Formats: sequence, structure tokens, C-alpha cells
Amino acid sequence: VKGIWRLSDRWWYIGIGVLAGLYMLLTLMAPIDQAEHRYHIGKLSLYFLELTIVIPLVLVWLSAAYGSLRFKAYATRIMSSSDGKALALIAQGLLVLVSGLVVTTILQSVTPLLRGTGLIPAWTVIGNILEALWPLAAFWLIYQGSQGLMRMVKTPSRWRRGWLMIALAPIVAAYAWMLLHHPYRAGSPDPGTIAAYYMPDIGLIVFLVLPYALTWYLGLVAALQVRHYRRHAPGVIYRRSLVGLVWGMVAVIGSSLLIQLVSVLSPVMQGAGLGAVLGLLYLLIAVYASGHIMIMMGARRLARIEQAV
Amino acid sequence: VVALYDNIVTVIEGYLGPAGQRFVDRQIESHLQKSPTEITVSDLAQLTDWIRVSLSLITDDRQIVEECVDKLHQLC
Repeated sequence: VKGIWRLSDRWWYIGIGVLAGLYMLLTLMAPIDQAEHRYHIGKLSLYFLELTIVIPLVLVWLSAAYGSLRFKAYATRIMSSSDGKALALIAQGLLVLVSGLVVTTILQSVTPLLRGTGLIPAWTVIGNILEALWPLAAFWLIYQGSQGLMRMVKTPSRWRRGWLMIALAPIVAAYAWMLLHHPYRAGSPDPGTIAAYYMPDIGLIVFLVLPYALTWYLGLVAALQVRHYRRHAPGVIYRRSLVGLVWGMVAVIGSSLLIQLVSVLSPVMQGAGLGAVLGLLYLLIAVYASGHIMIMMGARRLARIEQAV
Repeated sequence: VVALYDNIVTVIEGYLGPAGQRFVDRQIESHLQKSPTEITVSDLAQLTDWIRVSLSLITDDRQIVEECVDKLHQLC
């Protein structure tokens, strides 16, 4: 986390640029015979469709990095104050989230290229575990930051964490059930199909269900706590300046939870048409990117308070 | 002197929250060239004018700016 925090803005953009190039290359190199067969469309159309996902995704990486780096700049400026420390933790969490998004997407795009090498099971296990643990680390930091903000307001929150756990329980149970009933969870009888997890059931519970459940819980608590801070923080102008930041964070947290949910529920969506899958994907990308844009604008408004002389 | 400074900070915190003290310190140091705790009642009018200008850069809500300025005038 310290390394991610210390990385200068320039290196972030250079890193994302290089990784975006690599991601495009890996995606276009991946074999597309199965998709061609499933959706009954030509190779050229499939490459075009891939680009309509890859390019917006790369733009999301850039907007996410830009928004998080603006937020980091603001938090660094006020680091010595109590709100500065809490906001710095949230900024760190957002940067960890962005880096995780980039790394795990690239790891996933390598998998189809490993066919026939015998490396797919190990690669899939590492990729799945990283995909579950990386956001957990990010949301843990965001949650810690939101706790710091909560300590600054005197009004106690009216919602109870127990209610949130009760609300999340059926989602986690449904997710666990789907995971444990996934036909290709540990292996596949068809040599042309890659198994989804290559893990025994206990591994799925320990390395996927528990981390995801904890991530969703921490993310939702953090979003509610930041919203509570925005409503009860002192200072009418300060509260208004926080609007973009808070709603941006809520959008980022909410959409990244949804992205995780959709990715783990992908077996259910296999019967859905291409249009529905792409529509959902574009919607999630748009919400995620707009969240980061709101964060960037919110950080800019807050920075105006600190710059006014 | 410290009581006056604290009162100014309290008024501004009502508008800028945790950013209030940093805002007041910057106004005093850059426009009055004093350390924040050296401020006296005689500086208040000038400081209030600068605060009005700076708040207008942060918000377009004139009513809030004037309300804040009125509260600062009442500290005299």
C-alpha cells in the first residue's frame, strides 16, 4: 500500500498506459472460436465487440486513476488534520482498488493464452484469489477511513450493522450456493472448456465466499458511514463541497460491489443474449467511471477551500 | 487575543467545518502578515473583508457569505 501511495502521478499514468497496451494486445491475441460458435457472429465482429469493451474499460482505468489521484492530492494537502488522515486512508483504498482492477483484469486476459501449457489451473487459482483479496484490502482501508470520519461527528447513525448483515446474508448464501453448484468449478469433462476455479469446495468457501462477503459488508458500511459524515459534518459550505466526493464514493463502492457480484454470477448469465450481457457491462462501466469523475470533481471543490487565500 | 481568534475560528467552522481553522490561519498570515494568535479587535474589519472575498471564491451563495460576515462583525 505504501508503494502504491508513494507512486507519483506521472508513474501511475505511464503504468496504466503500458498495461492498457498489454491488455489490448492480450485480448486480441486470445482465441475466439468458442465465442464465435456461441454467439454465431463472425471473427471481425467479435474483435470489434472486444474493442467496444476494452476501450471503455481502459478509459475507466484512466478516469479512476485520475479521480483517485486528485483525491490523494487533496488528502495529502490536509494530512495533518483529523479529516485529512481519514480521507487519506480512503484515497489509499481507492488507489488500491484501481490497481487491483487493472492487475486482475490483465491476469484474466492471459488465461485463454495458456491453453495447452498445463499452467491454467494454477493461474486460475491465483487470479481468483487475488481478485477476491485485492478489493478486500482496498475496502478495508476505505472502511478505516470512514471510521475516522464517523469519529468526527457527534450524531450517532440510526442504522444498525446487524440489519446490514441480515440484508447481506441471503446474497452471500445465494452466491455460495451458486459457487458450490457451478458445474465446472473444479474441473471440466470437456478439454476445450476451462474450469472456473480449480478449487475444492472448502477452498471456494475460504478463499472466495468469505473474502467477498467481508468486502461487500465493509464496502456498504463505509458508504453508509461516509454518507452519514456528509450529512452531519460541521460547516454548511464544507458539507456542500463534500456532495460530489460522497456520491462518487458511493457510486464507486456500489458499482465495484455490483461488478464483483455480476462476475461471480456469470454462470447464471450464460443463457442471456449478447445484447443483455453487453448492456449490463456498459452500464456498470458507466456507473463506475461516473463515480470516479464525481470524486475528482468533489476533490477539486474541496481543494478550492484549501486554496482560498 | 486567543479568545478572539477562537471565536473567529468557531464562526468559520460553522461554514467550512474542519477546514475552518486552516482557512482562518491562511487569511491572517497572508493578508495581515501576523501569526494567527496575534490577531486583535482592530484587525477584525480588515480580516472580515478578506474572508468575504475568499468565501465568495468558494461558494456562489451570497446569503451564506453575508450571514458569515455579519457573525464576524458581531465579534467586535
